[in-house]
Amino acid sequence: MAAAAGEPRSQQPGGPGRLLLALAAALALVAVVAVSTGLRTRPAHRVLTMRLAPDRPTALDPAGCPVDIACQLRAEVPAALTRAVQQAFPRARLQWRSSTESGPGQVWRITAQFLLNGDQDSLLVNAECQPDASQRIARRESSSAQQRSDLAGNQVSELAVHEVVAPGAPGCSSDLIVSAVGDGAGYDAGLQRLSADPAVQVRS
Amino acid sequence: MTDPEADWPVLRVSDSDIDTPEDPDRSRAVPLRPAEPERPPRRLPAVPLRWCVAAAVTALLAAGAAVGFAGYRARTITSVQRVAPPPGGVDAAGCPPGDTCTALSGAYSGLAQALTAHLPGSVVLFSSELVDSGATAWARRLRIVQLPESGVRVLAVVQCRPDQPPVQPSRRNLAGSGPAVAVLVRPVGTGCALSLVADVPAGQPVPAAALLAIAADPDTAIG
Repeated sequence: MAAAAGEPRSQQPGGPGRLLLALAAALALVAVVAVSTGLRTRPAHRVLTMRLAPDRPTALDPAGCPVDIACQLRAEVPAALTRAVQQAFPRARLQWRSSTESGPGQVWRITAQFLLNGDQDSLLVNAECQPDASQRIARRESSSAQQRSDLAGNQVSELAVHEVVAPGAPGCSSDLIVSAVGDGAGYDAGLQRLSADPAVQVRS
Repeated sequence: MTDPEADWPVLRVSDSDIDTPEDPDRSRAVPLRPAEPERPPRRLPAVPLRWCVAAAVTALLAAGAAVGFAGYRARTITSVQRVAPPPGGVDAAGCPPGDTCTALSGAYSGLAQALTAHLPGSVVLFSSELVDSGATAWARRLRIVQLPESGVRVLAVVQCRPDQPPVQPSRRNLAGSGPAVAVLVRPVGTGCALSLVADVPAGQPVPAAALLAIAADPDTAIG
């Protein structure tokens, strides 16, 4: 009894000490539970997709120049284009040629028109590149015809239009149109061959 | 009154049968039940108060860090993807992507009528019309004619792209004579524009009046 009474008061785990120890134990338990929960939890991922409004592309005006870019129109087309057309259609005769460019090598549109067979059938080559366009143009084909009914009731084609849009470099393509009296079937092979020729593109 | 213990047998014990304190071996052989010793009360080990404070503060910090760690692990990561549609995409025929377009002869369009009216005697070299079945209302009509006497050729294109800014009117090389390439561009209607390009041979006058009349003709408008 004499030794216990001689201990200093700070050595006694009295009321405040016990309370602090209990608090520390509770907090330690909370820490253990929190760490355990954190280790078993993975961050949730949420992806928000924002579709931006389409940028208004700078298109070519009807003359073939970009709307906001000054360019010149020339009455000439590349010689390679003429050669490619004459290889596909040996009797082709050049009637119209024009191209637009805003600087050396910066060509936007090439337009050439050929007579294929006398003065009746015609081929139009219109190749162009859209400014700021990065998407590759899809190939497509279409045909239409003006028809009449003969005495037997058959539909007879009077004027046929065959069109092939061939993709070039991204944003570039070439529109090939054959307008022919009759059904124009004799030009299909040449049209397909010409559409595969990179010479009909502004950029391929 | 009789004594009830009077009839009990009497056990005679000699002095040699009695354990004595002077015989320690015999006291261990027949132990006596000792009295329960008085145990001291259980007491916690003494902990200084400052250690208790330090433990509480440390536990508090650890709990805070652990709760923060749990919150960090349970966070939601939000990623924002900005998807921009590819710009452009209209093909060389003037057909927007995804639409079904067909080329027709365009022989009976208003553009053909205007060219025939203001360039009498002209020969049609080519004529086409883009028909877009989609909802974009894009269109293009193209016609090439030639004046047999002068050899002047005119390329006329009218196109509609409602999503585009208005085309600024312009004219170039309308005065004088060939060789020249005369260009006349003007808007016609909403979102539409007309261009006239004349390839004028050497020595031939530019048909400026006819070009201006065609450009002012309301028949050239689409729709």
